[in-house]
Amino acid sequence: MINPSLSDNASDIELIELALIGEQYAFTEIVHRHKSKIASTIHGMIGCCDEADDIGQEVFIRFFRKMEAFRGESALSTYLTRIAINLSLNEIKRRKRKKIFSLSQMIEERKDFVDHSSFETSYDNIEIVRMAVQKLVPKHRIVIVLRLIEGYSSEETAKILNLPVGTVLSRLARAQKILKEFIKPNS
Amino acid sequence: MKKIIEKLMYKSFDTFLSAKEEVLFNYELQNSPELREEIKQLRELRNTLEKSADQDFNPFFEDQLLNKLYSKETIPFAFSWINTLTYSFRKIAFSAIILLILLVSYNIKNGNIYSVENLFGKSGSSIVYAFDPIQNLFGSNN
Repeated sequence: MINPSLSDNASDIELIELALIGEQYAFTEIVHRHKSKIASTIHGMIGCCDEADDIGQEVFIRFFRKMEAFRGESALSTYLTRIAINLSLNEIKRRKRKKIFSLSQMIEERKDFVDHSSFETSYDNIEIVRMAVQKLVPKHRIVIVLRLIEGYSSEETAKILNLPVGTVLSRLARAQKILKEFIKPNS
Repeated sequence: MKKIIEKLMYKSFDTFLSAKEEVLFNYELQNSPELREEIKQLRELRNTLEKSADQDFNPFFEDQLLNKLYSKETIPFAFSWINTLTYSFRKIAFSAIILLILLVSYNIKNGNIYSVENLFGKSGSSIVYAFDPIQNLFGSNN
């Protein structure tokens, strides 16, 4: 039996090796290390809701089942983020199909922007900014979440999304411009 | 604001500007209060986005996840080993069923008689024999 306290200093790859031989504490440590990052990715993509926890669990369950296939070619956080992005996109598609957000709901949210924000304070209001991010189309939302919320570099974002860096930069510029327009009270 | 300046403004936040672009951008920055205001707002927006990363799942997330993983499943290695065995057995069982069906069909077609003897191509066999311990131990001589 390996001492669980060793897992604090172990690398992700070492933890995966331990988890593969059935050491539960090693997988627990993997979840503990990466769950915050995965949480903000999913919340950034689909907003804070019950589904976010389910998707978060699904990210780790998928990884657990395919752990043997992880070769360590990219960082584990990048690998998990990729799974989280794909599952979030599926959720967005599912919502679109089921039309969870009705048109009237969206108009109401939009009204909130105008009613309770002023031009000077909107940009530093986390709730308003989060709501505005949810209004972006998925291709713009992804780059905002990865580059500006998660703090990946433009190159890392491009690698995660399998896109050229130029495309990431242009989407990022477009997304920020749209965000600013959403947040402006008179828009 | 000119489109080219706006493009440079966004670019300046995420990558390096070329020397020529930098000269143009700095000149505009010194002379345009509108650009300075835009940069201020954008910086504020980006800071807020950065702060919004501070989110987590519900407090029981880890426990719920580990319960799901370790109460229903065994460790991944053993899990995959059993899966492989099950998968191999399925293949063998499926092939055996196909062979049996072919054999029975062939016997029915040739004999044209629907009896247990004919189905398996063995004379003197019946369901009774299958359950007769003496018959099973000593064969047909007894």
